[in-house]
Amino acid sequence: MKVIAILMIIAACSVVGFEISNGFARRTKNLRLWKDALRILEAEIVYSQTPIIQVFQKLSKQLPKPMKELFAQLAKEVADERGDLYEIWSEKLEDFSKISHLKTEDVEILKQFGRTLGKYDILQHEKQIQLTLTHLDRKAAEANEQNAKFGKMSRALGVLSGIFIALLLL
Amino acid sequence: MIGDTGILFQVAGIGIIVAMIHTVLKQMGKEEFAQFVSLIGFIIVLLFVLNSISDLFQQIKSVFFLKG
Amino acid sequence: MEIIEIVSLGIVTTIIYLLIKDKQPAIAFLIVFIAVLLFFLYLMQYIQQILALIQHLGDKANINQVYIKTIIQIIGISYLTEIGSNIVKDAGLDSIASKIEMVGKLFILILAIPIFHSLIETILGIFPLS
Repeated sequence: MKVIAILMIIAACSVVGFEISNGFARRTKNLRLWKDALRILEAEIVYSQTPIIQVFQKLSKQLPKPMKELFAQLAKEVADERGDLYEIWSEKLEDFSKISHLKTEDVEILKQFGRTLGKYDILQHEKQIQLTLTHLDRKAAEANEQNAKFGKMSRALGVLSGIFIALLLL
Repeated sequence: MIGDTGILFQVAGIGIIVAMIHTVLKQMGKEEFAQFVSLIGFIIVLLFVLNSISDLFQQIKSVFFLKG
Repeated sequence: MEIIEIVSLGIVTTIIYLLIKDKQPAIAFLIVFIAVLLFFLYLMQYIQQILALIQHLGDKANINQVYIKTIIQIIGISYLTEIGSNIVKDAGLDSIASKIEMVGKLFILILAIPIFHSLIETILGIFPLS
């Protein structure tokens, strides 16, 4: 009975540690996905000059899981004309930031980008996309570093604190 | 019969775990947290010791008529 | 063979102490502390028996209870001082250990005063000085 309780405590704390470390890993991954998305967006806007709804649809087809739903919803809501593009964009980003472990500063960069979307000509758009990409590059480098640094640490700390609490209650 | 030796191993385990947490935190450059964890571990162990020392003193008092 | 338990406890304590000493000197010291406490707690049971024997003998010899009690208290104080000074010495503070011992000696002297007093009275009773 005691052994089971001890194992449960250790397991619970380990899960918390792994979850935190996962958060760091997911942030890195999502930032990389966003960079991909912006590159595709750039190609579509600058070279193919596709309308924004079709761009979103294309993006939702090309990108993997968490981004897929985001762009699908964006395409749908823009098509329904549920309001300003920027409003929809920032609203969806808020929802997205809850599941993607992105930090507020990352979301803020993307929101800034959304503010410019559809307001200027193609040349301006290209510049804006480039600007956002450099911002995201910096954030991605930072996230990578943090992932390498704290990912392992939080895992080790989770397991160790579990054992520690179990020992205290022994 | 020797008394409750489990406390010895429990304290040893806490010491080792605290040392490991200290090492991990120090490696990641969280010096102040590492220091803090060491202090907390020490205080917890001190509480254990406090219990057993009060046991001993109570027993000495009752055996040697040192009440009052 | 309870001596085996004591010896093995000592060895185990030493090993654990060596293991933790480099990383956490404070906790390593507390482990030694716990081991010392366990040893003395173990000794208490036997001391109780010895004291019971002394009291029994005193009763049989018709010695005043106060004297026996004083002697036992003196033993108790010396025992306590021993524990305290041992633990402090383990931490490497010999100067404080010697102060504890000094205070212990003084207290023993204070406890002995009533016995000394009655001794003087007896002597004065044998040689009437007036």
